[in-house]
Amino acid sequence: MRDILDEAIGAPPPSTVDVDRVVAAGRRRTRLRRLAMVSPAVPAVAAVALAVTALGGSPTAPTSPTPLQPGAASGAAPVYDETPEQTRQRLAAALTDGLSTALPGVTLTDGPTGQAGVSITASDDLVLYDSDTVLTTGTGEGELFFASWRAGGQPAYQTSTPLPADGPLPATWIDSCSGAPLHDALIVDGYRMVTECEQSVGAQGQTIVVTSQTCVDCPGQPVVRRDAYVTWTNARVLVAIVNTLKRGEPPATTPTAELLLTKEQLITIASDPELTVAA
Amino acid sequence: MKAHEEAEFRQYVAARMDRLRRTAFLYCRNWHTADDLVGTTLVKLYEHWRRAQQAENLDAYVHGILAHAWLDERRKPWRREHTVEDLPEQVQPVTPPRDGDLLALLAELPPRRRACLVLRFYCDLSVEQTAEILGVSTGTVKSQTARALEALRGPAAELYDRSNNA
Repeated sequence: MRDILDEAIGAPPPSTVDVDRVVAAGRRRTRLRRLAMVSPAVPAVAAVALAVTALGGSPTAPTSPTPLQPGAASGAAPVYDETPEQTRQRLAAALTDGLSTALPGVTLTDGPTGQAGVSITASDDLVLYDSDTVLTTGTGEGELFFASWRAGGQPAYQTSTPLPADGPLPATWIDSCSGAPLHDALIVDGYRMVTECEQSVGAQGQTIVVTSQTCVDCPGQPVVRRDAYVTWTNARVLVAIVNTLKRGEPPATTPTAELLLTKEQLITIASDPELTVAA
Repeated sequence: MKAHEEAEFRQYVAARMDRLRRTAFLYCRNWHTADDLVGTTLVKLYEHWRRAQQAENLDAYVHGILAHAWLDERRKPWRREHTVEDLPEQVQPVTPPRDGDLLALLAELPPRRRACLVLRFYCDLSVEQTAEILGVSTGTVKSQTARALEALRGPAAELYDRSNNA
Protein backbone atom coordinates (compact mmCIF):
# COMPACT_ATOMS: atom_id res chain seq x y z
CA MET A 1 0.00 0.00 0.00
CA ARG A 2 2.83 2.38 0.84
CA ASP A 3 4.42 1.76 -2.55
CA ILE A 4 1.14 2.46 -4.29
CA LEU A 5 0.70 5.70 -2.41
CA ASP A 6 4.31 6.69 -3.02
CA GLU A 7 3.78 6.13 -6.72
CA ALA A 8 0.65 8.22 -6.64
CA ILE A 9 2.48 11.03 -4.84
CA GLY A 10 5.32 11.02 -7.34
CA ALA A 11 8.49 13.05 -6.90
CA PRO A 12 8.02 15.79 -4.31
CA PRO A 13 9.15 19.35 -5.07
CA PRO A 14 12.17 20.70 -3.14
CA SER A 15 11.43 21.07 0.53
CA THR A 16 10.68 24.51 1.92
CA VAL A 17 11.10 23.29 5.50
CA ASP A 18 14.08 25.14 6.95
CA VAL A 19 15.47 23.10 9.83
CA ASP A 20 17.46 26.08 11.15
CA ARG A 21 14.25 28.08 11.38
CA VAL A 22 12.54 25.13 13.03
CA VAL A 23 15.27 24.96 15.65
CA ALA A 24 15.13 28.72 16.22
CA ALA A 25 11.35 28.60 16.60
CA GLY A 26 11.63 25.61 18.91
CA ARG A 27 14.10 27.44 21.14
CA ARG A 28 11.88 30.49 21.23
CA ARG A 29 8.76 28.49 22.07
CA THR A 30 10.57 26.62 24.82
CA ARG A 31 11.68 29.87 26.42
CA LEU A 32 8.30 31.53 26.06
CA ARG A 33 6.53 28.50 27.44
CA ARG A 34 8.69 28.39 30.54
CA LEU A 35 8.54 32.11 31.12
CA ALA A 36 4.84 32.36 30.41
CA MET A 37 4.21 29.54 32.82
CA VAL A 38 5.90 31.11 35.76
CA SER A 39 5.14 34.75 35.16
CA PRO A 40 2.07 35.50 33.05
CA ALA A 41 1.94 39.16 33.85
CA VAL A 42 5.44 40.28 33.01
CA PRO A 43 8.17 39.73 30.49
CA ALA A 44 11.24 37.69 31.26
CA VAL A 45 12.45 39.71 34.21
CA ALA A 46 10.05 39.65 37.13
CA ALA A 47 10.09 41.55 40.34
CA VAL A 48 11.04 38.48 42.28
CA ALA A 49 13.22 35.92 40.65
CA LEU A 50 14.66 32.85 42.23
CA ALA A 51 16.38 30.09 40.43
CA VAL A 52 15.74 26.48 41.00
CA THR A 53 18.66 24.81 42.66
CA ALA A 54 19.20 21.12 42.77
CA LEU A 55 19.79 19.64 46.13
CA GLY A 56 22.01 16.68 46.79
CA GLY A 57 20.88 13.12 47.33
CA SER A 58 20.43 10.15 45.12
CA PRO A 59 17.20 10.14 43.08
CA THR A 60 17.48 6.48 42.23
CA ALA A 61 16.78 4.66 45.45
CA PRO A 62 15.22 1.30 44.66
CA THR A 63 12.60 1.07 47.36
CA SER A 64 8.91 1.79 47.10
CA PRO A 65 7.76 5.41 46.96
CA THR A 66 6.70 6.04 50.52
CA PRO A 67 7.30 9.29 52.33
CA LEU A 68 10.27 9.19 54.67
CA GLN A 69 9.27 12.38 56.43
CA PRO A 70 5.58 13.18 56.44
CA GLY A 71 4.90 16.82 55.77
CA ALA A 72 4.19 18.75 58.93
CA ALA A 73 2.86 22.22 59.57
CA SER A 74 6.43 23.42 59.29
CA GLY A 75 5.97 23.92 55.57
CA ALA A 76 8.21 21.02 54.61
CA ALA A 77 7.03 18.68 51.89
CA PRO A 78 7.35 14.94 52.41
CA VAL A 79 10.46 13.28 51.02
CA TYR A 80 9.87 10.13 48.99
CA ASP A 81 12.42 7.38 48.59
CA GLU A 82 11.75 6.52 44.98
CA THR A 83 13.19 6.29 41.50
CA PRO A 84 12.65 9.07 38.93
CA GLU A 85 10.19 6.82 37.11
CA GLN A 86 8.27 6.29 40.33
CA THR A 87 8.28 10.06 40.85
CA ARG A 88 6.79 10.60 37.40
CA GLN A 89 4.12 8.02 38.06
CA ARG A 90 3.30 9.42 41.50
CA LEU A 91 2.97 12.96 40.15
CA ALA A 92 0.83 11.83 37.22
CA ALA A 93 -1.45 9.85 39.53
CA ALA A 94 -1.77 12.69 42.04
CA LEU A 95 -2.51 15.25 39.34
CA THR A 96 -5.03 12.93 37.71
CA ASP A 97 -6.73 12.34 41.06
CA GLY A 98 -6.85 16.03 41.86
CA LEU A 99 -8.33 16.97 38.51
CA SER A 100 -10.81 14.10 38.46
CA THR A 101 -12.02 15.06 41.94
CA ALA A 102 -12.43 18.70 41.00
CA LEU A 103 -13.97 17.97 37.61
CA PRO A 104 -15.79 14.60 37.65
CA GLY A 105 -15.84 13.10 34.18
CA VAL A 106 -13.06 15.32 32.86
CA THR A 107 -11.06 13.99 29.92
CA LEU A 108 -7.31 14.50 30.28
CA THR A 109 -5.08 14.65 27.22
CA ASP A 110 -1.39 15.34 26.92
CA GLY A 111 -1.13 18.70 25.14
CA PRO A 112 1.95 18.13 22.98
CA THR A 113 1.00 14.68 21.73
CA GLY A 114 -2.75 14.43 22.04
CA GLN A 115 -2.39 11.13 23.84
CA ALA A 116 -4.75 10.22 26.66
CA GLY A 117 -3.86 10.96 30.26
CA VAL A 118 -1.36 13.07 32.14
CA SER A 119 2.24 12.74 30.99
CA ILE A 120 5.00 13.99 33.27
CA THR A 121 8.41 14.84 31.84
CA ALA A 122 11.55 15.10 33.93
CA SER A 123 14.48 17.35 33.16
CA ASP A 124 17.84 15.68 32.66
CA ASP A 125 19.07 16.75 36.08
CA LEU A 126 15.78 15.65 37.70
CA VAL A 127 15.25 19.09 39.16
CA LEU A 128 12.04 19.79 37.29
CA TYR A 129 9.05 17.57 36.54
CA ASP A 130 6.37 19.13 34.39
CA SER A 131 3.35 18.46 32.24
CA ASP A 132 1.01 20.21 29.83
CA THR A 133 -2.48 18.73 29.96
CA VAL A 134 -5.63 19.60 28.04
CA LEU A 135 -8.81 19.34 30.11
CA THR A 136 -12.08 18.69 28.33
CA THR A 137 -15.44 18.72 30.07
CA GLY A 138 -19.01 19.03 28.89
CA THR A 139 -18.78 22.78 29.32
CA GLY A 140 -15.47 23.61 27.76
CA GLU A 141 -11.79 23.08 27.33
CA GLY A 142 -8.75 24.39 29.19
CA GLU A 143 -5.05 23.78 29.46
CA LEU A 144 -3.27 23.02 32.69
CA PHE A 145 0.45 23.50 33.21
CA PHE A 146 2.06 21.73 36.10
CA ALA A 147 5.63 22.07 37.29
CA SER A 148 7.23 20.63 40.40
CA TRP A 149 10.74 21.62 41.36
CA ARG A 150 13.15 20.00 43.70
CA ALA A 151 13.95 23.32 45.28
CA GLY A 152 16.75 24.66 47.40
CA GLY A 153 16.88 27.90 49.27
CA GLN A 154 19.66 29.55 47.39
CA PRO A 155 18.66 31.93 44.63
CA ALA A 156 21.15 31.44 41.85
CA TYR A 157 19.56 33.89 39.46
CA GLN A 158 18.92 37.59 39.93
CA THR A 159 16.77 39.91 37.87
CA SER A 160 19.77 41.83 36.65
CA THR A 161 21.37 38.74 35.15
CA PRO A 162 21.06 38.71 31.33
CA LEU A 163 19.10 35.84 29.90
CA PRO A 164 21.37 33.15 28.53
CA ALA A 165 21.47 32.76 24.77
CA ASP A 166 20.91 29.05 25.08
CA GLY A 167 20.45 26.29 27.58
CA PRO A 168 17.92 26.13 30.38
CA LEU A 169 16.36 29.38 31.41
CA PRO A 170 16.11 30.51 34.98
CA ALA A 171 12.64 30.31 36.43
CA THR A 172 10.97 33.28 37.99
CA TRP A 173 9.04 32.60 41.13
CA ILE A 174 6.49 34.49 43.16
CA ASP A 175 6.42 33.59 46.83
CA SER A 176 4.52 36.63 48.05
CA CYS A 177 2.05 39.10 46.61
CA SER A 178 4.42 41.93 47.43
CA GLY A 179 6.71 40.44 44.81
CA ALA A 180 4.00 40.00 42.20
CA PRO A 181 4.07 42.54 39.35
CA LEU A 182 0.49 43.73 39.58
CA HIS A 183 0.80 47.20 38.18
CA ASP A 184 2.35 46.42 34.84
CA ALA A 185 0.23 47.10 31.79
CA LEU A 186 -0.33 43.84 30.01
CA ILE A 187 -1.75 43.27 26.57
CA VAL A 188 -2.35 39.68 25.46
CA ASP A 189 -3.53 39.09 21.90
CA GLY A 190 -4.71 42.70 21.81
CA TYR A 191 -6.75 42.48 25.01
CA ARG A 192 -5.97 44.36 28.20
CA MET A 193 -5.37 42.12 31.17
CA VAL A 194 -5.46 42.91 34.88
CA THR A 195 -3.67 40.68 37.38
CA GLU A 196 -4.79 40.19 40.97
CA CYS A 197 -2.92 38.36 43.70
CA GLU A 198 -3.93 36.56 46.88
CA GLN A 199 -1.67 34.97 49.44
CA SER A 200 -2.41 32.37 52.10
CA VAL A 201 -0.81 29.63 54.16
CA GLY A 202 -1.75 26.00 53.59
CA ALA A 203 -2.56 23.33 56.15
CA GLN A 204 0.97 22.00 56.06
CA GLY A 205 2.49 25.44 56.43
CA GLN A 206 3.25 25.92 52.75
CA THR A 207 2.92 29.42 51.27
CA ILE A 208 0.31 29.73 48.54
CA VAL A 209 0.23 32.66 46.14
CA VAL A 210 -2.47 32.81 43.50
CA THR A 211 -2.43 35.27 40.61
CA SER A 212 -5.54 35.69 38.48
CA GLN A 213 -5.54 37.38 35.11
CA THR A 214 -8.79 39.05 34.05
CA CYS A 215 -9.47 40.15 30.50
CA VAL A 216 -11.07 43.57 30.93
CA ASP A 217 -11.74 43.97 27.21
CA CYS A 218 -13.58 40.67 26.88
CA PRO A 219 -17.36 40.23 27.19
CA GLY A 220 -18.17 39.46 30.81
CA GLN A 221 -14.57 40.22 31.84
CA PRO A 222 -13.64 36.58 32.52
CA VAL A 223 -10.57 35.35 34.35
CA VAL A 224 -8.58 33.79 31.54
CA ARG A 225 -5.60 32.51 33.47
CA ARG A 226 -4.85 31.59 37.06
CA ASP A 227 -1.53 30.46 38.55
CA ALA A 228 -0.99 28.92 41.97
CA TYR A 229 2.58 29.15 43.32
CA VAL A 230 3.06 26.85 46.30
CA THR A 231 6.32 27.32 48.16
CA TRP A 232 7.45 24.61 50.53
CA THR A 233 10.69 24.87 52.45
CA ASN A 234 12.12 22.11 50.31
CA ALA A 235 10.03 22.12 47.12
CA ARG A 236 8.07 24.33 44.77
CA VAL A 237 4.92 23.54 42.82
CA LEU A 238 3.23 25.62 40.17
CA VAL A 239 -0.15 24.80 38.69
CA ALA A 240 -1.61 27.12 36.06
CA ILE A 241 -4.97 26.86 34.34
CA VAL A 242 -5.50 28.69 31.07
CA ASN A 243 -8.48 29.14 28.84
CA THR A 244 -8.33 27.37 25.53
CA LEU A 245 -10.15 29.03 22.71
CA LYS A 246 -12.74 26.80 21.11
CA ARG A 247 -11.19 25.83 17.84
CA GLY A 248 -12.97 26.37 14.58
CA GLU A 249 -15.96 28.20 15.98
CA PRO A 250 -15.79 31.82 14.93
CA PRO A 251 -15.21 34.25 16.46
CA ALA A 252 -12.30 32.17 17.70
CA THR A 253 -10.23 35.04 19.01
CA THR A 254 -12.28 36.40 21.91
CA PRO A 255 -11.90 34.58 25.20
CA THR A 256 -15.29 34.56 26.85
CA ALA A 257 -15.54 31.41 28.94
CA GLU A 258 -14.66 31.20 32.60
CA LEU A 259 -11.84 28.91 33.65
CA LEU A 260 -12.70 25.28 34.23
CA LEU A 261 -11.22 25.33 37.75
CA THR A 262 -12.25 27.72 40.49
CA LYS A 263 -9.61 29.41 42.58
CA GLU A 264 -10.35 27.09 45.49
CA GLN A 265 -10.08 24.00 43.30
CA LEU A 266 -6.77 25.19 41.89
CA ILE A 267 -5.40 25.80 45.38
CA THR A 268 -6.54 22.37 46.57
CA ILE A 269 -4.78 20.69 43.66
CA ALA A 270 -1.59 22.75 43.81
CA SER A 271 -1.09 22.44 47.55
CA ASP A 272 -1.29 18.63 47.53
CA PRO A 273 1.93 17.31 49.12
CA GLU A 274 1.78 14.38 46.66
CA LEU A 275 2.69 16.82 43.89
CA THR A 276 6.01 17.79 45.44
CA VAL A 277 9.48 16.54 44.67
CA ALA A 278 11.31 17.35 47.86
CA ALA A 279 14.78 16.63 49.04
CA MET B 1 18.18 21.58 24.69
CA LYS B 2 21.80 20.62 24.93
CA ALA B 3 24.11 20.58 21.91
CA HIS B 4 24.24 16.82 21.57
CA GLU B 5 20.46 16.62 21.84
CA GLU B 6 20.06 19.20 19.12
CA ALA B 7 22.46 17.24 16.95
CA GLU B 8 20.35 14.12 17.49
CA PHE B 9 17.23 16.11 16.66
CA ARG B 10 18.72 17.37 13.41
CA GLN B 11 19.89 13.89 12.52
CA TYR B 12 16.43 12.47 13.10
CA VAL B 13 14.79 15.23 11.07
CA ALA B 14 17.17 14.73 8.16
CA ALA B 15 16.45 11.02 8.10
CA ARG B 16 12.66 11.41 8.29
CA MET B 17 12.05 14.60 6.32
CA ASP B 18 11.02 12.94 3.06
CA ARG B 19 8.65 10.52 4.78
CA LEU B 20 7.08 13.27 6.87
CA ARG B 21 6.54 15.52 3.85
CA ARG B 22 4.94 12.71 1.91
CA THR B 23 2.71 11.82 4.83
CA ALA B 24 1.64 15.44 5.23
CA PHE B 25 0.95 15.63 1.49
CA LEU B 26 -1.36 12.63 1.76
CA TYR B 27 -3.33 14.50 4.39
CA CYS B 28 -3.67 17.84 2.62
CA ARG B 29 -2.72 17.21 -1.04
CA ASN B 30 -0.84 20.47 -1.28
CA TRP B 31 2.92 20.72 -0.95
CA HIS B 32 2.93 24.23 0.53
CA THR B 33 0.51 23.19 3.27
CA ALA B 34 2.37 19.90 3.70
CA ASP B 35 5.62 21.74 4.36
CA ASP B 36 3.83 24.06 6.80
CA LEU B 37 2.47 21.05 8.66
CA VAL B 38 5.88 19.42 8.79
CA GLY B 39 7.39 22.67 10.07
CA THR B 40 4.73 22.92 12.79
CA THR B 41 5.30 19.29 13.71
CA LEU B 42 9.05 19.70 13.96
CA VAL B 43 8.82 22.80 16.14
CA LYS B 44 6.60 20.85 18.56
CA LEU B 45 8.96 17.92 18.37
CA TYR B 46 11.91 20.16 19.18
CA GLU B 47 10.04 21.62 22.12
CA HIS B 48 9.37 18.16 23.55
CA TRP B 49 12.40 16.30 22.22
CA ARG B 50 13.36 14.80 25.56
CA ARG B 51 9.88 13.49 26.12
CA ALA B 52 9.73 12.23 22.55
CA GLN B 53 12.90 10.23 22.99
CA GLN B 54 11.33 8.50 25.96
CA ALA B 55 8.46 7.35 23.75
CA GLU B 56 8.23 3.65 23.01
CA ASN B 57 8.08 4.39 19.29
CA LEU B 58 9.50 7.78 18.30
CA ASP B 59 8.16 7.62 14.75
CA ALA B 60 4.66 6.90 16.03
CA TYR B 61 4.99 9.82 18.43
CA VAL B 62 5.96 12.14 15.58
CA HIS B 63 3.22 10.89 13.29
CA GLY B 64 0.81 11.59 16.14
CA ILE B 65 1.95 15.21 16.29
CA LEU B 66 1.68 15.50 12.50
CA ALA B 67 -1.82 14.03 12.38
CA HIS B 68 -2.99 16.42 15.10
CA ALA B 69 -1.29 19.35 13.39
CA TRP B 70 -3.30 18.59 10.27
CA LEU B 71 -6.58 17.97 12.09
CA ASP B 72 -6.08 21.22 14.03
CA GLU B 73 -5.05 23.14 10.93
CA ARG B 74 -8.16 22.25 9.01
CA ARG B 75 -10.36 23.42 11.89
CA LYS B 76 -8.93 26.91 11.80
CA PRO B 77 -11.37 29.42 10.33
CA TRP B 78 -8.60 31.23 8.49
CA ARG B 79 -7.20 28.13 6.86
CA ARG B 80 -8.69 29.02 3.50
CA GLU B 81 -6.64 32.17 3.21
CA HIS B 82 -3.24 33.17 4.44
CA THR B 83 -0.66 35.83 3.79
CA VAL B 84 2.69 35.12 2.17
CA GLU B 85 5.82 37.20 2.02
CA ASP B 86 6.22 36.77 -1.72
CA LEU B 87 3.63 35.92 -4.30
CA PRO B 88 4.43 32.59 -5.95
CA GLU B 89 5.10 32.76 -9.67
CA GLN B 90 2.67 29.94 -10.29
CA VAL B 91 -0.36 28.88 -8.31
CA GLN B 92 -0.86 25.15 -7.95
CA PRO B 93 -4.27 24.32 -9.41
CA VAL B 94 -6.51 22.01 -7.42
CA THR B 95 -6.95 18.86 -9.45
CA PRO B 96 -10.56 17.73 -9.72
CA PRO B 97 -11.17 14.10 -8.73
CA ARG B 98 -11.41 11.59 -11.55
CA ASP B 99 -11.64 7.84 -11.79
CA GLY B 100 -8.35 6.20 -11.03
CA ASP B 101 -6.93 9.25 -9.21
CA LEU B 102 -6.00 7.72 -5.89
CA LEU B 103 -4.97 10.95 -4.21
CA ALA B 104 -8.13 12.73 -5.25
CA LEU B 105 -10.23 9.94 -3.81
CA LEU B 106 -8.13 9.94 -0.67
CA ALA B 107 -8.78 13.67 -0.32
CA GLU B 108 -12.50 13.04 -0.53
CA LEU B 109 -12.43 10.77 2.51
CA PRO B 110 -13.61 12.30 5.80
CA PRO B 111 -10.54 13.59 7.70
CA ARG B 112 -10.38 10.98 10.45
CA ARG B 113 -10.98 8.15 7.99
CA ARG B 114 -8.18 9.54 5.86
CA ALA B 115 -5.97 9.78 8.93
CA CYS B 116 -6.74 6.17 9.85
CA LEU B 117 -5.70 4.96 6.43
CA VAL B 118 -2.53 7.05 6.27
CA LEU B 119 -1.42 6.09 9.77
CA ARG B 120 -2.16 2.41 9.29
CA PHE B 121 -0.91 1.80 5.77
CA TYR B 122 1.52 4.58 4.99
CA CYS B 123 3.09 5.09 8.42
CA ASP B 124 2.86 1.37 9.25
CA LEU B 125 1.33 1.96 12.65
CA SER B 126 -0.69 -0.68 14.43
CA VAL B 127 -4.41 -0.47 15.07
CA GLU B 128 -3.66 0.23 18.73
CA GLN B 129 -1.17 3.00 17.96
CA THR B 130 -3.57 4.60 15.48
CA ALA B 131 -6.40 4.42 18.00
CA GLU B 132 -4.24 6.07 20.66
CA ILE B 133 -3.17 8.88 18.35
CA LEU B 134 -6.71 9.62 17.20
CA GLY B 135 -8.25 9.12 20.62
CA VAL B 136 -10.72 6.49 19.42
CA SER B 137 -11.28 2.80 20.04
CA THR B 138 -9.51 0.09 18.08
CA GLY B 139 -12.90 -0.96 16.72
CA THR B 140 -13.41 2.51 15.31
CA VAL B 141 -10.01 2.41 13.65
CA LYS B 142 -10.82 -0.95 12.06
CA SER B 143 -14.19 0.17 10.75
CA GLN B 144 -12.90 3.54 9.49
CA THR B 145 -9.98 1.84 7.78
CA ALA B 146 -12.22 -0.74 6.15
CA ARG B 147 -14.47 1.96 4.74
CA ALA B 148 -11.50 3.97 3.52
CA LEU B 149 -10.05 0.92 1.78
CA GLU B 150 -13.40 0.15 0.21
CA ALA B 151 -13.48 3.64 -1.31
CA LEU B 152 -9.97 3.29 -2.67
CA ARG B 153 -10.09 -0.30 -3.76
CA GLY B 154 -10.72 0.36 -7.47
CA PRO B 155 -8.04 3.01 -8.06
CA ALA B 156 -5.52 1.21 -5.89
CA ALA B 157 -5.99 -2.00 -7.87
CA GLU B 158 -5.64 -0.07 -11.10
CA LEU B 159 -2.37 1.50 -9.96
CA TYR B 160 -1.13 -1.83 -8.70
CA ASP B 161 -1.84 -3.47 -12.08
CA ARG B 162 -0.22 -0.60 -13.91
CA SER B 163 2.95 -0.79 -11.83
CA ASN B 164 3.15 -4.55 -12.32
CA ASN B 165 2.71 -4.27 -16.09
CA ALA B 166 5.24 -1.49 -16.50
